[in-house]
Amino acid sequence: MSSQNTSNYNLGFFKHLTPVRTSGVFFLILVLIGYGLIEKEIGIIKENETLEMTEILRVTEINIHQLLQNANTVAQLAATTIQEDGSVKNFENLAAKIVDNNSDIKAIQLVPNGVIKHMYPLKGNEDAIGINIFKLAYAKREAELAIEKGDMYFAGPINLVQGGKAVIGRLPVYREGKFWGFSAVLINLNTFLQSTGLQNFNSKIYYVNFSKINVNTNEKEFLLPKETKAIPNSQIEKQITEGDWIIEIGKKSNTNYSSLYLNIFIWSIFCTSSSIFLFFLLKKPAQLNTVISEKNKLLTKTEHRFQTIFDNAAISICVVDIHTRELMNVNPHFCKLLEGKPKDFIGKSALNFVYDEFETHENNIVKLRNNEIRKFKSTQKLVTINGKGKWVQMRMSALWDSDEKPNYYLAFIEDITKEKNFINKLQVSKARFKSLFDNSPISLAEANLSQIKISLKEANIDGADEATVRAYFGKHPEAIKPIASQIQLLNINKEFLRVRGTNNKKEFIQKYSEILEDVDAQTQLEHLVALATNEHKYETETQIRTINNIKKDVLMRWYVVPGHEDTYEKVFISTVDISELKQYYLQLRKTNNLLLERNKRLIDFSYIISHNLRSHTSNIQNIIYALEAADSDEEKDELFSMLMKVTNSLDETCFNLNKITNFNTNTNLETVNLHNSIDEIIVKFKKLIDKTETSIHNNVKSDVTVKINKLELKSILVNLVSNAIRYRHPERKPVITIDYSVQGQKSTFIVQDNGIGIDLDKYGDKIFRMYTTFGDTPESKGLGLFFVKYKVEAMGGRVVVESTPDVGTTFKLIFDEV
Amino acid sequence: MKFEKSICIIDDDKIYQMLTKKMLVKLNTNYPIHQFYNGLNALNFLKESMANGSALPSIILLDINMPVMDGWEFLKAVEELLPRPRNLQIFLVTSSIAAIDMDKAKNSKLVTKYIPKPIRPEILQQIIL
Repeated sequence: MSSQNTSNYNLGFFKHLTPVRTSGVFFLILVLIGYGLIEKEIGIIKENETLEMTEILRVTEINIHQLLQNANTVAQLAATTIQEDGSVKNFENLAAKIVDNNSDIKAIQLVPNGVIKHMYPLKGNEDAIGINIFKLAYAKREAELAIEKGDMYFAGPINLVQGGKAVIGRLPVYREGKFWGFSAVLINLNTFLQSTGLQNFNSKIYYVNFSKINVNTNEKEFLLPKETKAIPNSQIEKQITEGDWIIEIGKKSNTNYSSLYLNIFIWSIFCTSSSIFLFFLLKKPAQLNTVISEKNKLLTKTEHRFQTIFDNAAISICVVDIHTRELMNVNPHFCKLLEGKPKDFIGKSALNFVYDEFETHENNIVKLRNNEIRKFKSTQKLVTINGKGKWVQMRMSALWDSDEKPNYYLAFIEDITKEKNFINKLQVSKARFKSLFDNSPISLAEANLSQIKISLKEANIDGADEATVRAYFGKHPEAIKPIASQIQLLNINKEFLRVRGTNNKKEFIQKYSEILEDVDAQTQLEHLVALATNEHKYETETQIRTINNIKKDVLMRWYVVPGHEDTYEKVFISTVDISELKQYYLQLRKTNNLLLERNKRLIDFSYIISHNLRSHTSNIQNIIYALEAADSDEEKDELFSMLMKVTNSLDETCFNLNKITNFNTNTNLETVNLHNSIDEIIVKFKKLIDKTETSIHNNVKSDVTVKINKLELKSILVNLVSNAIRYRHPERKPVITIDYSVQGQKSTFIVQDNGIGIDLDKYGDKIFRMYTTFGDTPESKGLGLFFVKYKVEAMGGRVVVESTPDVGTTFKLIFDEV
Repeated sequence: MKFEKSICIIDDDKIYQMLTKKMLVKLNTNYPIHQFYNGLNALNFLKESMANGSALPSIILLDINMPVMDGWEFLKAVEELLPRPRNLQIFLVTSSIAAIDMDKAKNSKLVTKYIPKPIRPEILQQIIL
């Protein structure tokens, strides 16, 4: 291990180059460069100005010289008309040609000995003829100058005697070696000025002065208006010797440097932004440098502390060579964990103390060595010096210098033997539980009901009392199914699937919400009430639907797994299939009811039998008493006759009793055509039917057959038909309808009449009693309906009677299966 | 409400009716004897008597099991018709020896005595005295 030395980052002189300073210097350099460039540009502008002025002067000079040259040529041509002898020939003709073809020339003169004698055009210039220029003060000197120079010299501008201003170029002419005079050319001043190009000169920057030194006064006379705003020392001048004219060009306004402003501005922006950019560019490494410096300081401190911590740590730490796996250093806690002293470990391979290194651990060490990862965790079993195995949690962390690959790593080791044992036990428990859950003979499911709780909370009924919850769902019955359907199945066992008629767990869980749709709202409400009132256990008998839509009765229990009472995220649901039990129970209840009914009937039967038998025996006893007290043979005969009647009645009672006790409906079952059997009964009653004008409608279809004891069926129908005729309404002809219908598993025989009817409120509980009759019908014995009910019930059916007094009666014989 | 010394026999058993009447004759009873085969006919007789202002029978021999209107229904109807019949004695003369009937008779205000059939002449003698 080593720490970084802060001197590695000491840069000597450069350490003073802070970002602010560096960018400041950079800024100044840029400003200086900018200054130099601007200066150079100003010089160029000034040089350009001078060149421009010189060019103007040059052009002006060329223009003037062209004019003067032209005038000189004209003067020389005019001079050719002067003969050697001093006479003049063809002056006018030549002059006319020249003047007509040369617009610059106003007039041509021949001035012998200074006197103007010839002039073209003469017209308008007559006043000049005869003038001796040597005698004119203002013209004399200039004329003399031409003679002195021996070349053409331009005088003026002169105010002409004939009017106007003109420049006069005089060429001295010599004949026969003597001064003859002048050949002169007059150029209109305006023409002269225009030909110079200066008259229309217009510039905002430059001015032009055009002047002539008066040879008489030696003072400048300006031919064009003099510029008054001239900037001193800015002008250059040129003298035209042919007339002693002076052209001056100078500046009348200061140089315009506005074109430089944009450059200056752009340069300023460039200087500033570059400096700022440089500042930030330099700042980041500086900051990093600062941070590194601080970290290094901290590291140095930490290194001092490390050893202390290493030695006193409450966790086992060792330093291992990453290549050889040799233990470099171990702390006391490590020694304690592996039950040895430092010398037992240091210098030895760490592998000596590993029980069985896992492949992943080894792979991670390789990755650590290759710098692919920097740390990893693993669980290992270590072996102590004494050969004891200990489970540990190890956290490996590679250590290396900045420019090196990892060469050793630090291992933090935590003893997790207890936890591991606990986890192992827990895993065994979990496995056992899973096995129990999966293979339980009880249908089990693990479900998440938290969403239901959330919905109840949103409805403000979670934790409310039962009445509030019921009131809420009473008001919002449409909310029951959507909320109850939010159950989420987490796991289900095999028995659960078996009860639901499938073995496909995935398919069932997918279809579970559809299956829940069919659960009746009342059952769902009860579950919701239990959940809302924070029941942690709930038991109910309910119906479930299998995946094949078969309904089953189940005993459902659920309880919240401890620790999940607040959220209901884990709830165990057990369902016990009680369909068969319930079927048995229903059958039992039915049988019990039947037995109770039969018992009641037996009691009634015994009561009636007892009553009737005693009735007969008491009559016999009374007859015997009467016989003992009989006074005559006639009386005795009468009493014997009575005795005969009573014994016959007794015999009849015994016969009927025998009929009841011998009745067995389950024998002699045969397939009976119902329609034909009814027709046979109608034939049997033909006489009575004809006598009473009874209409019997056999509405049973001709192909309907039932499996039944035919004789008993006929006996039942005979009783009902005979009753219908017997209790016919006195005011209408009897109409009897016999019908048969099948609905599902149930078949119903219907015998309907329009007779006197029975007041069921009054006699409802008596009509099927033995020996019970209604009305004064002597042929009634009170046995018919008793036998009907007795036989139908003995065959597994039941009798329902509907009747309205004065309207009629309907008997329905209902069988579950016939 | 007038009552006279007369006997009303209400029973659907014709033999019993004949024998009882014979016994009463043998006992030299001069009381008028009214015979009915069900409770409804007897009740109608009582109502008619009351309506006509005729005297009502002071002794009724009443059977329990009868068609149309049985003995219990008759008693209930009489209770409604005659709230306090002081001079009326009703004897339940029946073939039933069921405890339920005996208890029911015991609890009835109108029943003077429960007499299981056969009714013997000496018992009849006591009744008409």
